[in-house]
Amino acid sequence: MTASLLQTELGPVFDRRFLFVTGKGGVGKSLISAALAVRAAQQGERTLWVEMSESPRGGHFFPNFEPCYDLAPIRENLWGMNLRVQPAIEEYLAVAFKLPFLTRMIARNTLFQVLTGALPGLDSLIPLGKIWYELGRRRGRKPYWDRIILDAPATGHALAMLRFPQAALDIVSSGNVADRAREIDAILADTELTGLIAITSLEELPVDETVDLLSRVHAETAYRFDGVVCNQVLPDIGANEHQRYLAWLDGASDPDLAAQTTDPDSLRSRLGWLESHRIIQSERAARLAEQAVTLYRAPWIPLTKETDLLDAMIEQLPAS
Amino acid sequence: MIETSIANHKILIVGGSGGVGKTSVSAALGLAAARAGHRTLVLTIDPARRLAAALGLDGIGPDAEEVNVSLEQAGISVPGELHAMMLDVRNTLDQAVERYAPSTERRDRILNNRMYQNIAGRLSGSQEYAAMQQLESIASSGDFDRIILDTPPTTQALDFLTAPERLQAFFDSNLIRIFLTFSGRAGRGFFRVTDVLFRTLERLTGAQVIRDITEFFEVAESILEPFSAQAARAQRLLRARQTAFIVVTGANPHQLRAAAGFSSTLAEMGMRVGDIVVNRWRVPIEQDVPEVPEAIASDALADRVSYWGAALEQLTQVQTRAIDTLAADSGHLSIIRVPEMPGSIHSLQGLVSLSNHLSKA
Repeated sequence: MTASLLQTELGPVFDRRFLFVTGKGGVGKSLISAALAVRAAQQGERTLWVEMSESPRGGHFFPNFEPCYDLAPIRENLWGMNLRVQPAIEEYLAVAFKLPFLTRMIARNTLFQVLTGALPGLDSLIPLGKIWYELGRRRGRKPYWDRIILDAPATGHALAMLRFPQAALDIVSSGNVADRAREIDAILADTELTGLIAITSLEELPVDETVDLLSRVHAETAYRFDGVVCNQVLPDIGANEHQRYLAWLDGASDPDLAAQTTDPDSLRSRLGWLESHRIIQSERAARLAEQAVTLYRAPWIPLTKETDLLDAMIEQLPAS
Repeated sequence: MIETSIANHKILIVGGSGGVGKTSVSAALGLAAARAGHRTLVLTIDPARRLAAALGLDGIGPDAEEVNVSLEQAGISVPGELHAMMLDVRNTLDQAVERYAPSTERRDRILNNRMYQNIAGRLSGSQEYAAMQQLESIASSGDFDRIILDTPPTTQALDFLTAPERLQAFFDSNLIRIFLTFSGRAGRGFFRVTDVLFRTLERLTGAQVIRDITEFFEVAESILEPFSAQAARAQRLLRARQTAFIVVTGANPHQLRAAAGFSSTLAEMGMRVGDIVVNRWRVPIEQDVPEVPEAIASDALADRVSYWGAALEQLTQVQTRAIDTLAADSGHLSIIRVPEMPGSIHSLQGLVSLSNHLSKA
């Protein structure tokens, strides 16, 4: 049942040059976006992976990498940065007003920080403006980056970011903000260039939140989510031998399976737990599928170390 | 011990990173307090639909609802009372404006200001700010003798504490007076840096937004002091003897490390940590760590069973070792282990069983 709902091969949306990846906290958004970035880099694409976090995860996934505002190499073909709002504002002001010294003073002024914090959406505008800049950079006749993958903020903040261009244009029609809002709108609306991807696990709250995010974005903006990656999808252990497997879980004796363990009862109870959760997961996947968006499968990986998890996920994410 | 935390503290704040089950633990904690005979309120932010339904919170507004009736119908006897309330950010801020506005004219000007309508409830930090305001109001009303606050769903546990402080800076009267002085034409040119600052802001946003902000500040100034005073009371409440934090975490090593870091930051900030609840721990069965085969899934059923059996076992071992390490490093803090539970916890029976696990530990 799950198999038919969840695509096991990543669709063409994952080949777009800019991927905006969001999801509820704790569902594996950073893991999946990092895995997508490493895979792009492994295919020879010059790739930029961008986090936007006060406590970035990049250093956990890539032990020799320290995420900060300045671009830093992670591995062959892969660069990373942590796009925090404050340094982005400083850089933006310096570029926009060509007054590096004065603008730094202004940007670090408490009053200015409070006001920019109070202006709705400025914390969306400036980071997206940075992405716009990186997307537009050229290297000779080719784009500087073959691929930019944004590990965007969690769903609530991501919704604010996606609402931002229209909201900004409702309030201001001239000035830098309006110009930037138009540029960002052009990127987000460009379905050749940009893919909006939501990550979720098939648990109750994340699914609720994803349904909510998708329906709001689709109702309130001109943008569309092109895919939802369901992470931590439990394995279908029964697969093609389901009857036999369920019978064994139920306590039927099966010499072939009995040979696998010294403690069949506890193994049965544990795998029984997995099977019941797998069924609940496929029901939730069916709920998500009502959103008319393609669902992709990312497996549950029974590892806990983040570097191991990333390696396994890169291998497990099926090629497009 | 969760009983000790409940017995000694009037306010329990349930914090932790996103996706670890804070809301369920909050509800179960509320149930445990009500079972201990307290008149209890669980203030939650955005519960899963079935949990909301289980608590009788489905589709209701921001008023406290009594859950006892549904508990009794489910055959659960509770000596105290259990109430639940969902936080409505916009409504909380509107109510505070109504309470503190010096006149109805002022109140209406604030509520109708475009800036206020734009930022109330949407500004980052406003959910956390509203939660603190609501907590302070309820605590000072004296209506409940136990209040369980489920903190807003953020990725980082600490955001709950830092977001209101950042927002508080926005309400700082001095800053706003400076703004009002210098944003008017009369103020321009006096002070070169401020002048440049405003020109920068104008070029950034257009003059219109500056006018909106100025009007907002003009009308809002009259309620800033009571707002700030309430926020300051809320900050004190967090550090009061009657308040303790319950830190919820998942059972994986990086989650446990984050929880340990969060707990020590709380302590450094002068706040009390009651217990650390390790949620969704997979209880180990065997003693030896089995070998995990190379292939993630092979073809035959026996191989798959063997692989996943071994993988689950290894996972439990890793989790258990990490929890043991946390327990050894946390000294006097009590660590409550809640096993991964079969079936749904988003039902009254599920809550009862979660509450039993919290108390049994």
